[in-house]
Amino acid sequence: MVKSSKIIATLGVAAGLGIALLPLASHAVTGEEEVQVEVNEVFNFSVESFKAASTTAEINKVAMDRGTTNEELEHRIKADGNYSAGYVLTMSADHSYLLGEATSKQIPSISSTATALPTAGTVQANGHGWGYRVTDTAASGSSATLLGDYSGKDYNDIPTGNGDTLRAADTAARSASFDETKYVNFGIVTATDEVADTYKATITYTATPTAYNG
Amino acid sequence: MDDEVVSIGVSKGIEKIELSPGEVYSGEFDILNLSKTKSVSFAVKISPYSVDDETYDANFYDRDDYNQIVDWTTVDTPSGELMENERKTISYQIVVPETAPAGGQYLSFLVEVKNDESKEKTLSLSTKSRVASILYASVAGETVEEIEILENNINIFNLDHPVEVSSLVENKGNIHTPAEYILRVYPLFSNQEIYSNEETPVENTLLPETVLFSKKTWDETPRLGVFRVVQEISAADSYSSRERIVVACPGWFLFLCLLFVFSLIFWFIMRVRERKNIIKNY
Repeated sequence: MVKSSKIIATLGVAAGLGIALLPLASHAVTGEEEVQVEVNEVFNFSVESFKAASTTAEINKVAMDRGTTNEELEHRIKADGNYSAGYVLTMSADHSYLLGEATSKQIPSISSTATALPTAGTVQANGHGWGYRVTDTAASGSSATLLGDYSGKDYNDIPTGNGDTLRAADTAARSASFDETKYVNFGIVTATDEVADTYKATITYTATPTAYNG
Repeated sequence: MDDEVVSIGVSKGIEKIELSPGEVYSGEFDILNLSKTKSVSFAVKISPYSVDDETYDANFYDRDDYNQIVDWTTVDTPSGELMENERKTISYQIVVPETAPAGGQYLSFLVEVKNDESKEKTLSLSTKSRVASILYASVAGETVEEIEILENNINIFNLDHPVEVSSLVENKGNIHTPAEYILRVYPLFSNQEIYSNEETPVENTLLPETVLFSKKTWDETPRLGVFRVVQEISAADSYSSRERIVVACPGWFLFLCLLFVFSLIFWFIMRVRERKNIIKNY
């Protein structure tokens, strides 16, 4: 009994000392330090070319027969970062037509009053052309859900110069939600007498942070 | 972000500075290559910045009196290479003339990523990515802040969509001016706020000689309800407050209500006719 009491007393003292030491030990190990972190606003932007409805990014070039329609060329645009006010996305082409590399022949843009692509299977004089639209998912043809103020238009004419502002579904919402991804889908119709060549254009996407968020 | 996708970034989306005539101002911003596997060639172009229409579409082409700063500004690194994950500081200098007009001046630094030229030969639709870093400058002198609130609108009927308010505000001055928009929602017979964005109000910066259309919604609008909605707009010395009773309901519910009302009217008319017939026959 005496032995056990001594053991208990010893343990008690040790515990007491341990408890007494703990605050000092803790204070000595951690202390208090002010940590400063400077967070800069960062606005990130990327554009990716791929074939619509494909999950794999690949070089954006398709082979077409004369007198056919292709709606599989697509660009995926994404903004990211910690810039809270959002951004405005603008798209423009170096010229409104697709330009043949070897022959300098042109596949023109659809007109500004057109609402759809020309019907495939006719000669150049009756209709060939290309246009664009903005969709919510990577999809081709009629399965794509159109975004923006494109009501009544299946495709739009190709903008040059200052370009077109690509709007979200709410036409008054100039600034897209952050981390939003948009898809720009291109439709091309070739004529039955189209000259064989590689037709090209350069599309410039500009993301502008906004000073307005409503 | 996909590592394979070229992704560029800027450290400053919008910067606001103050200048004085005759001053030489030095500033900087960072550009970033966020790709982990690809280096990129970049170019920094100084372009005017203005906005078109009430929708404030960005305009990097047209020049007016508020874009003279483009001629005063140079960058130290107009082009170069960014390795994977590299961050580079771009310095710029603005030499403000002694005769610089007082008020706002606006430009954009367009950071453009060039395509891989070897691949351009195979691309049908090649792309260029540009990120704009906008500079809002105030040149000291006789600056005029003048705002007119042209419209302050509240939608009365909100069928199948959130309660919506909108406005048109015009900046008649010669300098960019902030405007603040506060939306409050109350129950019909109480002053206890259901919603208010007073802690984080909508803030828009209006460029001089422009009109801005703005829209705000109460995203938590219930499917059915009657509320008092207040929109307050304040900018410079201008202030506008508007209050309205609004109704939020599904379209089919409104249709049923109208159907009920018309049925009631029809029943009442039939009852009146019936009574007249009874009196007549009696």
